[in-house]
Amino acid sequence: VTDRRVRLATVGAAGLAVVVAAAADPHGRIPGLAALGLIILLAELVGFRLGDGSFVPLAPAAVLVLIRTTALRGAPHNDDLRFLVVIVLAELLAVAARPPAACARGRWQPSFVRLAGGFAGFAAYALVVRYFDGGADRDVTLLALSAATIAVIGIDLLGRPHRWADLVHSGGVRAYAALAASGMLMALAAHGVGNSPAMGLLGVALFAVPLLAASYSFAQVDAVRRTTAQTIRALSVVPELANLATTGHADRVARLAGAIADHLALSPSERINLEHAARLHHLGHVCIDDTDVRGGLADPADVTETTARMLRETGHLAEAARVLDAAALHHRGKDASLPPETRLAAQVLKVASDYDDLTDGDAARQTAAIESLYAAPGYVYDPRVLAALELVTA
Amino acid sequence: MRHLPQRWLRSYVTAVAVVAATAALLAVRSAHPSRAALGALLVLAVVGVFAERTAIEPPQGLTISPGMMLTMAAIFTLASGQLVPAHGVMWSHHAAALARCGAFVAAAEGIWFPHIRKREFTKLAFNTSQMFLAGVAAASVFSWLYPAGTQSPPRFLLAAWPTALTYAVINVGLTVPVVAMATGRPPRELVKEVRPVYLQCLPFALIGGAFGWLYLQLGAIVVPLVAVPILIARQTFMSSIQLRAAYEETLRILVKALEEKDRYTAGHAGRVATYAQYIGEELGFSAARLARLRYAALMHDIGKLVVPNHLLNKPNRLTAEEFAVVRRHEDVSVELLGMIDFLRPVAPSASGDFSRYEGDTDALEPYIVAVADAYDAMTSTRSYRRALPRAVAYEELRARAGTQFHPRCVDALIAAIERRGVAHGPGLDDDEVFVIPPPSLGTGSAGLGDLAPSLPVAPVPPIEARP
Repeated sequence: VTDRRVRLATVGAAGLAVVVAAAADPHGRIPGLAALGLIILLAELVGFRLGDGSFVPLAPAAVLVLIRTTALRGAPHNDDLRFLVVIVLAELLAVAARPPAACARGRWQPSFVRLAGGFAGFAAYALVVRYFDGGADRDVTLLALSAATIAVIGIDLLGRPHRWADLVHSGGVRAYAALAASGMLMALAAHGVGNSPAMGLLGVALFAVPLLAASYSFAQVDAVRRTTAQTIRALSVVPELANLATTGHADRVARLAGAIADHLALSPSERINLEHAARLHHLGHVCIDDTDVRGGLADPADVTETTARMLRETGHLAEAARVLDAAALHHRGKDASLPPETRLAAQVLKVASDYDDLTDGDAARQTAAIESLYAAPGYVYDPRVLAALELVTA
Repeated sequence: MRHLPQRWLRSYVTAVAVVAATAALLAVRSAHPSRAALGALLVLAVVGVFAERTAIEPPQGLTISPGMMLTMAAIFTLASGQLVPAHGVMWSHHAAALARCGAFVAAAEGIWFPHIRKREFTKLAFNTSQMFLAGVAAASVFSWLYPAGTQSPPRFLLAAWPTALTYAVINVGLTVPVVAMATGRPPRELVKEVRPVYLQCLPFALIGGAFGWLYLQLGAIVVPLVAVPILIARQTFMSSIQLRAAYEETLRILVKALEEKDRYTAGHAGRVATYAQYIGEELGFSAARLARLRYAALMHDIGKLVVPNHLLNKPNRLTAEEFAVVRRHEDVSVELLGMIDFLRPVAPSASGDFSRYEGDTDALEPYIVAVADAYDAMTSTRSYRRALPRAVAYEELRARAGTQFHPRCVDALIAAIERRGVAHGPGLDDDEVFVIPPPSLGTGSAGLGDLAPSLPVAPVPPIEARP
């Protein structure tokens, strides 16, 4: 709540500054620049939520508009200073107002990245315009704007912790493509090309609509994904509440399996399947009729198969069912025909689950547990997975 | 509306096609396009043919298609007068004539590949014709409100909406008779269904105008720039729809798995979700609140997963200890629903605490689920008694409204069921196969009612056993 209040106050102050500027100097350039500063600040607050929970603000697109506004005539020029003042002020305010999702690497880091990107973009734009002797025709404009876009977006990408494969998987490439295209459109619409008339802030607002629609769609996807993850988590504790698994087993196995998968460099999608499978691998137990196995324990392979059967019918957990099926087949020694990555994922699940059964979350039992896994016959556990387990738990 | 003879439909379609062809001929004759104008028309028409394939059809609501945007871009580009060789006094007149050729872009959007593949040329001809006519009318309105040479963003804002509205009204006006004749549905209902289109077309028209404005300055290179964010928004929105459907599917499957455990409650969760939705609709809930209510109702018994099978399906009265074990499922349900953020506000729906009404509170959901649950428990066969007739269930609900049930929820459910004319009760759950023939007495509430020692024993009307 406090956070929201700070955000409102910051945006309100910036809005007030725009109004004051417009009242003091209605025909000058200052109100327009102040409005752009406000737009940059607002664009820091809205953005794309990617699949891995990270946040991509819309600010780079707004920075492109500011670059085109101030660098139109090339550098060096008075506009250098105008650009500097607007972007620094907007980013300083953004430090206070930034939503928690954008602060994964600290409150200041995104502002530094944006300033670096902004300066690089401004320099790129101004240099291209200057190289063509201040030309402002179509081709020079497009060339200069492309250079600025590459600089701004490129530096923003460098400031992120992503590996390329993760960026593709989490929808980051789509987000950045939409940012780049919309940023160019808004910058082009704000000022006419050559001697053509300008649409000004109306153009910026109109071409912001598809970008906002895209970020809204990302938010929708994120909401469903989060709900799905929470539902899976809720279902994963059902066997524990039914006293069919130890408390925290599913969660620990999922974390451990994820860590081992990272170590073995499984693909992002297979890693997610593995985590779902790990969370739900005991769920089938609650559906096995206890009138048949009253008092005794159900066969682990039966449990895994029942879970797999339940999940196979669902739309998006069917992939997790594949991992569970592979685990059940391995238990019965019939997994030779499966694709290697599925087999590896099933192995990771088995190792993580058996390790947790042995340690029960107790760090003191680690060494003994790993020793007894190594002591099992060679065909039971994959040595690569055991090696990874040893490294991950060390 | 009753079915009209096929002949009428055919004459109507032919008439529209003839009018459109005449309009097209007139438009082509009066326009003197430059090469740049022809290029713009061609580019936008080609994009238009493919744009219709990117239309989104959300599960409920109207198709969202970027077609309006392209038509508007073409009209704006051609009506500006910049693509007319600037000679003579008839300049703005030429520009207006050229703008009407922008309707060819609209006609191109009427080309739908599946119609060609399935050789449904009548549909194809009708769609291109009606869209062409809508485009011509929109172009005329636009060049009247925004004559060639005008370069004022506020004036453009003022001109865009009447243009878009003209387009939408003619589009709907020409299409509704065909759909009404082909399906026999009343036209008024169809018109009501497409009402949101009038609001929806405005943002597309505005963006289309800005698109046309940039096109004039930069040429075809703006097409990919405009297309990329729109396509990304569309693709992501589609995947959110698919993910949501997959999520619901997953819940249903898991609930089914739960019901496998509890043989007497087959279909119970789904029915409670339906009744809860009835009540929510009757009380005027928003779509988001309805969705949440439906999920909560669907999952209200999820905690039963932790109850051992031999207790759930026990045909006899439970002992006190056994009852405590079974009763624990409510707490588990509440705990599990509480783990899901968007269901947390309605998590108490799964609790038995709301089987007692104590005045109005903010959250109606728990009471709604309680009423829906009790109604289904009474009108379906349980391990301890057979289904009761609907009238008995109503009476029971009404009798306990204000003490056990929320009166508004009871009224809403009864009204909704009566209005829909659906029947529940004995004889309607015959598809269930029972291993042990259930007894035929007891009213019960939430499936545990007549086991609960704390609840007052209900006056049980004698019920005829099913023949």
